Amino acid sequence: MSWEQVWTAANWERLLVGDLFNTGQPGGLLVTLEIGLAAILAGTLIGAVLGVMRSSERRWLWIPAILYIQTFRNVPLLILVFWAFFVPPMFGVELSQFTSVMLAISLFTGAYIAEIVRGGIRSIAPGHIEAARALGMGRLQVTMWIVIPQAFFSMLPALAGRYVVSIKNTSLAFLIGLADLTEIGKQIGARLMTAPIEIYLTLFLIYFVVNRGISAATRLLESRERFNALFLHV
Amino acid sequence: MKLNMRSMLCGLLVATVSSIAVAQEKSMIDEVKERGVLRAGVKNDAPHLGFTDEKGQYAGFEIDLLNDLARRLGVKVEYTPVKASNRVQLLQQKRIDIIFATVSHYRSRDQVVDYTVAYLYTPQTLLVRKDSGIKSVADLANKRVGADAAAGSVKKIPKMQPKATIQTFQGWPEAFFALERGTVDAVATDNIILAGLRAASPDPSKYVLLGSQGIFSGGYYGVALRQNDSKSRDTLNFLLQDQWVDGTWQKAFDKWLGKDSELKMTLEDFDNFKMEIWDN
Amino acid sequence: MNLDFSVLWGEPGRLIVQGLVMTLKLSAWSLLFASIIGLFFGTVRWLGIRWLEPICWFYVEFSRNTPPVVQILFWYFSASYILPHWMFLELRDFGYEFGAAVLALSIYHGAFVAEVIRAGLNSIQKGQYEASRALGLGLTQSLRFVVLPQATRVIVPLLTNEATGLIKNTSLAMAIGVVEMTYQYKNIDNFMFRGVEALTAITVIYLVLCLATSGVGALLSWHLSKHARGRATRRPVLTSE
Repeated sequence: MSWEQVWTAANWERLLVGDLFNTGQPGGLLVTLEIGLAAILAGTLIGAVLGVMRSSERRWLWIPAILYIQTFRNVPLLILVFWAFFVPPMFGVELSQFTSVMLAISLFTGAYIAEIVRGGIRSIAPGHIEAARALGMGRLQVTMWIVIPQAFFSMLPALAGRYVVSIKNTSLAFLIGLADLTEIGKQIGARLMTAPIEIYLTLFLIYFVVNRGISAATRLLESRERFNALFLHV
Repeated sequence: MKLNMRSMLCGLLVATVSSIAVAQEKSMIDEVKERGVLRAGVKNDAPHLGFTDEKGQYAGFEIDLLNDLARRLGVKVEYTPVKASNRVQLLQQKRIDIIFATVSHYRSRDQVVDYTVAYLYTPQTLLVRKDSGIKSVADLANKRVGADAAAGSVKKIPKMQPKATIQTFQGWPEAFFALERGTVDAVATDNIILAGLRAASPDPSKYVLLGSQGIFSGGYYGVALRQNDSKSRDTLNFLLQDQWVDGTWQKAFDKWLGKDSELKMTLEDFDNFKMEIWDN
Repeated sequence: MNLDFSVLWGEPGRLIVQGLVMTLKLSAWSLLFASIIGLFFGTVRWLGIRWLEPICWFYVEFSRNTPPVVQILFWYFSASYILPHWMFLELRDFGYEFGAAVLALSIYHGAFVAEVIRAGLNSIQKGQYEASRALGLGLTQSLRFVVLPQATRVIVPLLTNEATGLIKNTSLAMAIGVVEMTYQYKNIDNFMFRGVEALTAITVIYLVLCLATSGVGALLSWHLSKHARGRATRRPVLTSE
């Protein structure tokens, strides 16, 4: 066991920002968070749209939604990453490793968030919707201004869970050669050779801290009062 | 209206596909010079040959030759770490232009890629633990041998010693790690890769690199590129030979493998390798 | 760009089927051990044994917050250091990468199964358990005959979810060289250049596997709820009223 060998300044620098200050190539936790955040944003957007589609009565909306959701939930994420990275070049389009992973995770997460959004929409008292419609609001307006703001809070815990999973999923990037946190850890491990326990425990620690941070941050938002206090200065 | 849209899309698709087909006829070396960047697939885990140091910089015998090649072409290098399990895929997809990563020249491989002239010959031998008592391939009976999943030794060893079990790994460091932990009893590949792994380990004296009795085969390293591209192959061949003739090759060899390195190997260890040189 | 799906009947197809067998083996073994581990930890946590609580909490939080693929790498590289020597040799003979992958997946999913079991147990009134103990049934007996049968109604659907997640996670084992379906895709693309065909076939197979598992789970929970509905007409053995 040799923690001093693993926890050097150079190693920590590589784990956190990759070779940003050496060769200009970002890596490590920085890349992990970049992919994660981008995928979370895109995935939430996709999930919101799909969730609304899924909850609609119109067949041309909910049938494609179900097809998408069932397809992307029942295929391993790694296969999706391979689709994004290895297939487009055959048609002349080349996606970078970063884009491929981000795209795959977004589409994957979107399918799960769609289900969460659907659950959230269903949890709104139908009376609210009826009242809004009675007042003359169109269906889309009702969705945007009545349903989603209220559903948002009930969905937060489930959403936070999915976001944490998305950050974990970024670790697949190393399998197509992207220098994310896991890849850098593996490189350091290969170079030091006899300290795998230390290096992987360090990786665990970093992921643990980041994910718990996300969960804690969302819990902050969960309480309506705290949310208002933080953002609306009421 | 719909029919028009559909035929427009079809036309667009055909145009894209045919323009791709036309684009492929351009020579790789011309594309590289135009782009200003040579995308090379290299090893990042072969000490002394192609590896990343503590700062993440690429270094090693092959890296030096590669950098010099790029300099002569007047372009920069973009390094992509490759493994045997994905390097051909990446080459075919044009994500890399060449593979400069201890690729041994075999006929089966030549059917999917093209090779330049050899820049090194390496005998293939075994790396064993000192106390294992293995002195040759014959001693491998009922023992486990580790190798990279795509290595030539995976097929060669069973031919020479059918009683040995082959265990494949994702890379040579993993195979070496298995040797260290006792999961395998020997690692079989090019002597230079084994020498590098041994030297980079915390306790090199624990391992023995078998000499002439252990040698069971050999291979020529060449730079791999996409097939049917004579112009690129000629350019690379001439540049590699220039490197040999003006001493660049020897400098890189001495620095990483020979008298100025910790390995202290000589050309004799490589069967007195001499690159084939063509006159004008 | 020439797609030729007929190759799936030849060598690539054979490789994919070999990979499928490995995927199924990985899934079966991991599911088995994950269930055992999950059953143990879930019940223990529900029972509320004070000194075990922090261990259980940490185990679940650890698996929730760390990526499964990193856990697979961890066990692959560290098993020889962590496990007792005889266990390591057993693992090596069993098939080292396969064993390490099963170990990692079992431990990872075991945590989630534990939470599922706990949720299921929580859904029953605690009075049932206390009454059965009061009537003289031992710990394991009351769990077996009173508590768990009722908990299965909640557990089965959640467990099928975990099972599909586990099947999908077996694809991560390719990172350490286990020759399952996703690994075969890489193989086929690198040496036979039939990547797209292979990937399509493999995607379809995963879809079928996961949907089938969900289907079996749905069937099972429908069957069980039938039983419960039937039993409701008979007086339950123990009630808390």
